[in-house]
Amino acid sequence: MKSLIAALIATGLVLAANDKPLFAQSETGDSAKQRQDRRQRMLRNREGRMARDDDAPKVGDVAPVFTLKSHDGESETDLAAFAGERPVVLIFGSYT
Amino acid sequence: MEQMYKEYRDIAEFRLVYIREAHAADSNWPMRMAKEKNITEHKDYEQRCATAEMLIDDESLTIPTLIDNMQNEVNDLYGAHPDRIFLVRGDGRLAVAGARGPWGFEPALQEAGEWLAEFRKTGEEPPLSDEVIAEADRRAAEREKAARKK
Repeated sequence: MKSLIAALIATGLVLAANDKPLFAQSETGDSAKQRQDRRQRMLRNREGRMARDDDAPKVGDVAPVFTLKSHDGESETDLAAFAGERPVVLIFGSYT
Repeated sequence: MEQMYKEYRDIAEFRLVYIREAHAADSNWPMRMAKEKNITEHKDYEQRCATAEMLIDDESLTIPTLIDNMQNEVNDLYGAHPDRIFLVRGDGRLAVAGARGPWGFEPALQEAGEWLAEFRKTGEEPPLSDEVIAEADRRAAEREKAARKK
């Protein structure tokens, strides 16, 4: 009987210990605020992405011309200079 | 990308346009690799060039690389961030305008490869349809009108 009571108490303690962080995560104001902030950030990012997609040139558009220096600073590329000459593949990106 | 450059550089120009970092170590969404390599948001043009140099060395890139200015002007012109591919025809019009990366990158790379393969095979640039050109001209007229209002 004593061992049964001990087992029940131990189970109760384990459940109580497990419950605490669960309730803390789902019911505190901080977590709700964090979730809301995250959601708003995601919406802002999505709006930003959509705006950039709307503004991006599309097939058939005349490619915006630009002049940029090479990575070593030794030469320049003027996109307009290729007009009527050769097609140009532009690959935009960064390391990350 | 590098493979395509080596395969078609005899019939087309290629430029890698290095723009601001997408997931720098000090950005909102840092990449673990950025932290390991200490790739941070570019504070000045010299740092931007140095990070581009690191990319070129680490990836053994031979494709000619251009550096966007610190006002990110070319990035903004093309809505390129984080990465994007375009193919410009000889007449200056876009034959390929990829969707934004990362998901849009590979499909556009493949589309550009197919365009270049066709160009090599026939010796002529695949044509744009009249509808595509008309739609593009309509967009250009709208942009011009909006610019005049500003």
